[in-house]
Amino acid sequence: MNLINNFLTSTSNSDSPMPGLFVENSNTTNDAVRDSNDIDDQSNAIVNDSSRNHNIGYRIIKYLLKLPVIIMYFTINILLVLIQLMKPFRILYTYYHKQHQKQFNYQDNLDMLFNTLVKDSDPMKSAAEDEDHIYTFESLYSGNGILSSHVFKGTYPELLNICTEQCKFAILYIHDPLLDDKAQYINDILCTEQFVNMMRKYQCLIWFSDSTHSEGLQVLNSFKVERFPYLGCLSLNESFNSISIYRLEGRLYTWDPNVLNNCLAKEYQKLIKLRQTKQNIELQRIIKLQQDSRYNLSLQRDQERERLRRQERDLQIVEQVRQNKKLQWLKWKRSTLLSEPSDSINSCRVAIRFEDGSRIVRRFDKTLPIDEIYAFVDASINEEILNSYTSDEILEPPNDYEHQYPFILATSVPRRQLNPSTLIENENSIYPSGNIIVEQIN
Amino acid sequence: MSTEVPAGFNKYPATQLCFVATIVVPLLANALSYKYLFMVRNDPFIIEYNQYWRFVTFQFGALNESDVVLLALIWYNFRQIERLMGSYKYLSVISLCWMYTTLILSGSAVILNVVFPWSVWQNFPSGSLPLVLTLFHFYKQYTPQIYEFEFVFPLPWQLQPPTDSDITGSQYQSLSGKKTFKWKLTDQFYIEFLIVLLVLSQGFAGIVCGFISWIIGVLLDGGLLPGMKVWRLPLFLFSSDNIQTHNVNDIRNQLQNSTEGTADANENLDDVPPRSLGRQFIDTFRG
Repeated sequence: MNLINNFLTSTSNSDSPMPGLFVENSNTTNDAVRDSNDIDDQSNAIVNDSSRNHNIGYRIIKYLLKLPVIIMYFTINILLVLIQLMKPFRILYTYYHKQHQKQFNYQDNLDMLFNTLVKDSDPMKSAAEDEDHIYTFESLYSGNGILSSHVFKGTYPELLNICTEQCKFAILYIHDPLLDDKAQYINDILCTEQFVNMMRKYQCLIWFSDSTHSEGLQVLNSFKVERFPYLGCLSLNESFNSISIYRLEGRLYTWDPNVLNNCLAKEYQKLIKLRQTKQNIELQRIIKLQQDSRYNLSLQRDQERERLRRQERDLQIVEQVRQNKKLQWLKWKRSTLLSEPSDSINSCRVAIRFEDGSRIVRRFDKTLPIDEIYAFVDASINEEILNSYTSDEILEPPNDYEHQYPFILATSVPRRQLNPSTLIENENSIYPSGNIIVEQIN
Repeated sequence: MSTEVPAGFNKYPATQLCFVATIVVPLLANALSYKYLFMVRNDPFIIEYNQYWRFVTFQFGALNESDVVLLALIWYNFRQIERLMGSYKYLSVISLCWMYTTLILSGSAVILNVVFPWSVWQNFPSGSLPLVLTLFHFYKQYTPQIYEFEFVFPLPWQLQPPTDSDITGSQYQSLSGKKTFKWKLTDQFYIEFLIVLLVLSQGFAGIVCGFISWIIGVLLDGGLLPGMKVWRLPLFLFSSDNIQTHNVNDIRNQLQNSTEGTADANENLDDVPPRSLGRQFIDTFRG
């Protein structure tokens, strides 16, 4: 009720252009009937007032929500501007970045590593001490060194690939340039005669890296190496995955080459077996490939033969049908042959000589085409076949069949082929009488 | 390929020492009410009482628990330096860095306060912040970065605040062509973040002393401050340890190699992976 009162007072003394204008209009125009419409009015008022309140609430919420966003916007702006102003201090931030960027190239880093290793390994010391140290790092690994063909100059994944492909041992040496005696492994292990002999005997691949290089550190982390430097040996297991078979890390106090040798010797047998399995697999693959190709070839041949057979059978069927039709035609044609005319005036008398030497003399109506003679000859050639059938059935010419006579008729002297379509009476060589020779067409 | 340094302190005695000391010393000091030993203020302590010994002690104990936590985490992460240098060299470097930071920080503070008598340098950072910042250079310098990633922000202050009609696809496409703010982080962002937190949490003194300490680290590594190659802690401190580690190291290597050799042979015999106790327990009920 309070809301309605509020509304009534506000409407009575205001002409605000607020929403709910139609209620105001109804107030002024229908003043007299206002009491009667009190209920309607009330409901209108409620609607109006609630919409107004809603509007105010909406505004307040809008401002309340906007405020923190605006504050946040400006705070972040100021922060970002400050960061922009701090640009000179980016030198500090990128101080290490440039240096690390350089390390992404593994090859350059490897060359640098070899240089430092050559420098670090003490040739004087190793040459002077005893007979074991007859090699220097330079004479072994760099350039045309004895083991330079064993040094693998690729990335670690490439090394693993090569090892898996060729079934070889991989010796990993990861140098640590920060140690006090950094060349210890080089002088005491890598440059000893036993080590060189082992490498040559078991055809190991040797991979060098640096613990301050990204690649080296990743390898060290993946092997969970706790102290540097690291010397490891990788071999393959039965499923051709690389496994670590020997590891040496941290400061070296004594080194027994026999341990590594035993490890390598033991694993070498497995490795040879693996190589054989790999070769077998390869061989089997080739054999299988050959078998497949042979099978395909014979299959193709069979299919070809089958195709030919089917074609032949089809041809036979077609031939059979043709023969049947021919027989039908012959029967029909014989039935249409007119009987030999008795009189000699309206007929011609021809002597037909067959190829086998037999001779038939017969009269033909002169008004008929020479085709009649052809039909007669055809019938007499196939007489035996035709006689074997009863002639009771109603004879019709077969559909889709055009008979080709397998012979031609020709006059004897001068030899002239007779055209089946001309009438007998128009052919002087046989009318009123003549000789006809039957010539088979091959 | 992993980016993780092996966890634990087993092989890193120097890290262990620093980590434990960072936590235990403030705790003990707090419990025994000796916290004042690690506090340096120029005004009463140095000027009035001439307690110069405070310069020596202040790096041994942090005064704030948040500093303790941050320092402990940073020391733990610095085991990578110990891994690179070896424990003996690492301890030597720590001692060297401690001497340089103590000398240079306290010396410059004293000189500054003598030159400008209104005590411009009043506060000192608490805990081993200068030492950690010096070592931070070694960490960053010798730890290669394994991966990096980038945050790309559009620059909001270059834009007009968009009105309702402006929010269309084409508008935003044209905006995206504008200059952006890139923030590149590497895999070391965690320790960088810890260092920034530590420095900022100690206020202006932390920033200034941190910066000076970092410069000391750079100079030490560059050879401008002598001692990196020469200074080593006297060996007799470690002689007994050394023999122990020697033996342990050798035996461990041998054991590892012998077990690794046999591990493969046994692999075929038991293909079933060993069950944990909990698993066994559950399996009895599964039937």
